[in-house]
Amino acid sequence: MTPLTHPTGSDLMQLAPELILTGAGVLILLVDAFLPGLKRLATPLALAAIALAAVLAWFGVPVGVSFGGLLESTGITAILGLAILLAAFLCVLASHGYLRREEIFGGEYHALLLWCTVGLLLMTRATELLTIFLSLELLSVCLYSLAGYHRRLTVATEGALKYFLMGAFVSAFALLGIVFVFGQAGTTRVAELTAMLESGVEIDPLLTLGILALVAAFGFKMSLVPFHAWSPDTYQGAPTPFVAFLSVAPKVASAVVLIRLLSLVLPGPTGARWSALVALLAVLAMVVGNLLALVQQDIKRMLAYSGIAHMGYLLIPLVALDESSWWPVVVYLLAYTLMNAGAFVIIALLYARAGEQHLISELSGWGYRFPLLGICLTICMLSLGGIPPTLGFLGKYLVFTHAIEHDLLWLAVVGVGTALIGVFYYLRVVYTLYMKAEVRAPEGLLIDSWGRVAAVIATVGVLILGMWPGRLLDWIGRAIASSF
Amino acid sequence: MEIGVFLLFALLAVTSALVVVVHRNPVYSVMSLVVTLVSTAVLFVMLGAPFLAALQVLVYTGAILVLFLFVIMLLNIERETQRTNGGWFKKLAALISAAIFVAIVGSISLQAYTGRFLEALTPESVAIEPLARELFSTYLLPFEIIGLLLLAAVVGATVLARKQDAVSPEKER
Repeated sequence: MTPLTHPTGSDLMQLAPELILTGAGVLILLVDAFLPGLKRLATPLALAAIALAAVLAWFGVPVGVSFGGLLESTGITAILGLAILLAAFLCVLASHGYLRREEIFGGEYHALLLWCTVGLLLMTRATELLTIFLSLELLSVCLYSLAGYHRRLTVATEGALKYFLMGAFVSAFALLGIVFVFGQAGTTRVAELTAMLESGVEIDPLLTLGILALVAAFGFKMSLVPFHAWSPDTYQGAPTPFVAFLSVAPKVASAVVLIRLLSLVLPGPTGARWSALVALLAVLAMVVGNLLALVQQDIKRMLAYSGIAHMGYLLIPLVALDESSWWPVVVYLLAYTLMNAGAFVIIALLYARAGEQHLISELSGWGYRFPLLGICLTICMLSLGGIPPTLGFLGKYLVFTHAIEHDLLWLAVVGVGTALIGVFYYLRVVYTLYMKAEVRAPEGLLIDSWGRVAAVIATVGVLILGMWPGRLLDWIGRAIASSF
Repeated sequence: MEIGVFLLFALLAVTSALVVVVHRNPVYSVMSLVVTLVSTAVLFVMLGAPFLAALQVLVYTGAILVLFLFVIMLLNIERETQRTNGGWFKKLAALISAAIFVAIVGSISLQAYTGRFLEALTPESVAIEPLARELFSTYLLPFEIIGLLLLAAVVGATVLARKQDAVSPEKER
């Protein structure tokens, strides 16, 4: 009989950020239940837990494999983990005022958000398919219930239900994929799968089908085109500060899993077909996302479609996947996290009627009425459009140079062309902010300092890192170099 | 003897699964789903996986289907009112699904024919004790994630099902 293997101290240290977040979630729930007077403490508690988790994730988690190969921490997962925690931090900051304004403040919101972050952090580091699937389920369950958190609104329920039904379907798909992979390879560990595929065994169609099903499942979470239909409706109904999280963090984690899956098959004999598939997905996402964003009148829907397009740009470096692809991917994900979360945080502050349309035209002239938020939103929009002194430009620049260096000039051309469409609709928001006469007076808004801080953090990040990227690039370069 | 039992329960499983889809009264559908799941449990026993069979009966037949029945009876649905008989899109989807199904079954049968199979499970490897050992040592982390997942699901369900907050009608937007 084999002796039991117990988790060691270093295994537990690997889990330190997750343990802190889980514990903080439980604590917030208990405070909410037994000390209702201290309910409002949920925000500072959650913020402190996220900050502590971020410090531990960066300084405390040892690089390497743990739990007998179920988790693997590298420099890259550490950076992307920080991006996820940053999105959660901004979301909690912006949620305080929103939840009070809508009179739906409750500890469950913060607890679910923290547990969702746990799922995301685990998913970025998991190197075994079952662990990946369970983390996916953990984060999905939290996302579904948070998307429908604003119970009074019919659109919230509708959006959450749509997300849930499609998500459940996709989970079944992912599980089917895992079954096929296991049935063919006899293992669910990514490292063993890699070794098996590198040894040059014939790739069975069922294995391909399994990986394809998994790619589709994570494509759904990244809202790539044909799997994107849920995102505009869900974004519209969900609490706006939560959309700041929903629109970035799951995409960051799913992108990592997608890269893990693609690195299994891309070097193999069928690699050329897989890279053609990725190129097709990228083009579809860029074209469909940008064209549909162009015709939206509702700013949340516009950003939902533009988010689809951004995932298309992110796929470009994956077409020719090698170690150098991580560089543009990590920078792009960081930029996307800051600018998209920032934009949704500001929208949460500027629109009071949750559940109704958030028309872009309602912002007319508000750049002068709310100078700080106006400037922040302008900078986020410029960055989303990829205009120079911002981090968004840096991300797009690296993505397109990577494509050109790998003889994918046509893909870079498609990217630049669709990005120009993007610039048009992002600038339309800025134009509406400053060049049009006011059409509505502010009413029912609650712009608190928590929310302002979130907007400023995101904007300053986008601007400073975009203007002086040297440090950031050094830092990312070292992390990537240490990961291989 | 063994082949007879297999044929009996395999046929039963397929027929009752068809009834689930075809029958218009949802209560009958659920009841035949019970038959399907119990027959599959018998097939699991024949494959030498009694634990899996027990779980199948306990969890699916015992818990989940009772829940189905509860919901159907609470909502008092007697028969499907809408006949979903649909356009070309649905037919195309059905065609594609059928093609994928045939491809998968064909691919698996081809492997059975060429004899390239994974090692069969031994009775020891599916017995309860080795399973528990694996679960609490190698797969401890996924096991703990399931714990948190269930907690999150309970909290999430409570959030979605709680009473609407007491808000005066004029504040209702």
